[in-house]
Amino acid sequence: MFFRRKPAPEPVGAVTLPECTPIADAPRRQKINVCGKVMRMQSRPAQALPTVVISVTDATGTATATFTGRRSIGGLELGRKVILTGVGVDTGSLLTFVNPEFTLLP
Amino acid sequence: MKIIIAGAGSVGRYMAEQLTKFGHEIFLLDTDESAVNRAHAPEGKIHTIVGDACDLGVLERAGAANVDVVAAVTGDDEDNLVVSLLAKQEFGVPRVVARVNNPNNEWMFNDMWGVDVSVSTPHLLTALVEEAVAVGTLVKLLSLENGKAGLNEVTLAAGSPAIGTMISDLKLPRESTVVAIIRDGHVVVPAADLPLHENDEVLVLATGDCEAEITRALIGSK
Repeated sequence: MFFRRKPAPEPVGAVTLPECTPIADAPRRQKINVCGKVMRMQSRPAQALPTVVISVTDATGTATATFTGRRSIGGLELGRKVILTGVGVDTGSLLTFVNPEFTLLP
Repeated sequence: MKIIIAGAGSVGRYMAEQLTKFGHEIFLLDTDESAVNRAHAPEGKIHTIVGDACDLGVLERAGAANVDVVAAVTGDDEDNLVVSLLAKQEFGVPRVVARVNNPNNEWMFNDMWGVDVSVSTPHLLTALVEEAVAVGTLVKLLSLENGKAGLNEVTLAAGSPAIGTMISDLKLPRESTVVAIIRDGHVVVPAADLPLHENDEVLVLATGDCEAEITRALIGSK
């Protein structure tokens, strides 16, 4: 019998990461990516609505993201590098996201 | 201002017509083409879009990325919630107003679903009826800032500790203030040295949870 060798699979982990905007220069109400470290996590009291709020800081500034309907998100922890993708708005003068997409970085 | 109105029922059409009169630019959305076309306004003032407002592409086509307000006023609470969440999450709309059809669903209309202001007709009617008949109880007329602040009304009944007291001497909590007094059908400016009378309607604006203290100051402990 003659077996044909399977072609080698594509190397795993060769993903192209989206280009990030510095937080200080981020335009509002446009879909953007920001990249930074989770420097702060905030949880709400048990009887309040379940929400996870994180602050992500890069070299230029800080942005916050609110995830509604849950109390914790696997992988999102202090010190973790992440890319947030979403539409940012101003809360006070702070860039904030509601339920953004996120990519965990090693 | 640019405003998207989702739902061209009688409520949505009325809002569109009124708001164009005030000079706003309206984008009226509905799946029913005949419904959106029934809105009467001077040519070009109302942009009608036929499509499902719960569809991201339709909202995008309506220019949700640039509007100042989205009003979700369909007859369906589920749709209103989806429109609100999409507007907030995907387009960062600064102000999202949603209509509550069934008062049982009102608890969901909050910032979790992207709603900044919810309007519930049954709730409003109850508050107005209560305000008309209640003397000597605290009536919550409306809530602002997502329920963080509220306008309360008390009609002073005989025996209230506030009668004869000057406003500055009322033991009102710090987070509250008397904004107006209605006496014999006239608005009286609440100066600090104004003594209160029986049957005065006292309007108190308050933030936070201080209803109990306001009740104590204006109604007394019964």
